[in-house]
Amino acid sequence: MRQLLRDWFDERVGLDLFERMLQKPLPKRGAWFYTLGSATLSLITIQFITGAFLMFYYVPDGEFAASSVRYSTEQVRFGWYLRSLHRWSANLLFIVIGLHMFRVFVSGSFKRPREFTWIIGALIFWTAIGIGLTGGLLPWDANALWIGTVFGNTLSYFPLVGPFLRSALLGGEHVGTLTLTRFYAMHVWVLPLILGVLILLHLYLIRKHGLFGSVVEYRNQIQALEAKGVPRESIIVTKMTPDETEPFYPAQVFRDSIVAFFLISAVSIFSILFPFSYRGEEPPPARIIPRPEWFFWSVDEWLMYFPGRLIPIGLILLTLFFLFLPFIPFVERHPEVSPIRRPVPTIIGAWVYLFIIILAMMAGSRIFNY
Amino acid sequence: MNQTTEEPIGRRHFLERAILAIFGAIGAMLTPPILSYILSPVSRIREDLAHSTQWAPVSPLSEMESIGDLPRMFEVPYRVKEGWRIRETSRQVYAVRKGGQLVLFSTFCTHLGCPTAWDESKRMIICPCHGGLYNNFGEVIGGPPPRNLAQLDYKVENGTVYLKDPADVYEVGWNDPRKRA
Ligand code: FES
Repeated sequence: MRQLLRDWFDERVGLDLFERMLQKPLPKRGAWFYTLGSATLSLITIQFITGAFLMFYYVPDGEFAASSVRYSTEQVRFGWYLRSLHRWSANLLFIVIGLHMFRVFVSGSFKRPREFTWIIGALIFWTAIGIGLTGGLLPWDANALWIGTVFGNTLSYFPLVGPFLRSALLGGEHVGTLTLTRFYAMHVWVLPLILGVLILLHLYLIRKHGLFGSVVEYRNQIQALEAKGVPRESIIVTKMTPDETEPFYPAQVFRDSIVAFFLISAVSIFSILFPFSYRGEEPPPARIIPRPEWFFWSVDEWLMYFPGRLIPIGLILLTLFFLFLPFIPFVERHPEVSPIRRPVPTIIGAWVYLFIIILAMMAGSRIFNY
Repeated sequence: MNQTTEEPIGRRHFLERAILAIFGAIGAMLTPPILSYILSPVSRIREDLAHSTQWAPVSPLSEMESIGDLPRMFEVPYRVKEGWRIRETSRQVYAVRKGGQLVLFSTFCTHLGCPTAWDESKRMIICPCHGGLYNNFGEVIGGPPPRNLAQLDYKVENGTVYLKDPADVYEVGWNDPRKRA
């Protein structure tokens, strides 16, 4: 019966394609590290689902946004839960993306022939930042307004095009009625659409390249060839042996599901224990202390060290850092993937992460001690 | 044989060009209008400003008599045109007496535009965002701000102080954007 049903669908839908994708072999070793990508995907899925339902009550207009958020948080049944899920998941998402990028970088998984997988991953990272940024404005409380203002003003320091960029983004020279609708459109449709397309491409490329050149594969084959006296430069790597691999389904899907389950449970528990409340009741104006989301803390802190005339330099360096990300596979091109055998990139990568974390911690202590 | 192979290649070549041309044309039909649609508010900034409050009452002059060389903050209500809406809002300004002259200046930090406040105990104007510091006259004394707090134009009419162009709040950078041509 099952077989009959399968064949019926196969004839009409082409199940063999999906089956082949599910059967793709993956390395056994280090498999838990490979769940970080799917963890990112589970959280993004949570964002799509909760986000869609938050739209049921949210009104993207300066006059009503705050009250609609308040209504959905305080009156709508489980409104607080959906909204908190959305925000906690967003928070966790940036951590998981960071870990995923670190894993991919350290294990050299961006190398030939996976350059495009990395590039698209970097574009996904940019898009996620854009979504986080535009989403921060939507609660439309005093904090959101100042975050938008600070962001627009930051852009205005770009030489020549700065003021134009600022007003193009804000829809005017200050954060107002037109800013909210464009940020809303970006947050709920334009950027998520781009994100969805990028994710599909990313997944396609991951499946296409499957096992090619994973750490295990390189280590074993390189050792074997070196033992035979083959010079290091001329070693070209092929496939792993079957006993070092297993099909994606069901073992890896099981791991991914476990990770998804724990992540989503964590998000859910955080949402119940520390729900995001509505904070639209503005404190007296002179006491407003704008606080960026923590994932922008390091950027905030970085810009602080470029006073006066140096502001554009800090901004340009920051932009160059983000623009540089997709080019990493073209900078580090030799085939070695082991983090130990390529200490320079590993150390640089670790320092960059450490630097970002330290900046964020400094910003955090500054923000909370103010 | 030769004819049959050459003819389709010519045809194929033509079709490829045609497909490119078709999508090029579709792109050309859609892109410029969409871009100018998105950027439309940018070209209307001056116009919107012209439809916002030109002179906003700050306070009666008599209330400002007592101000010395320590800044006092005033809340200034005004109307601002934002695209399809005219919105009631307000901003703050500092008033201080400098060399016997009443001076109004902005509360918006010239670094990234955060709202500053006078700190009575530290005797300076502090920006909460990145620790920008200004003295009582709004002159930078520390932190990242590139310029002193923007001095604002005002007039006195019938015993009331009016602030000029309160809706023009773009004040960051080392040149005052309000003073553009
Ligand atoms: S915005 Fe005032 S110091 Fe940065």
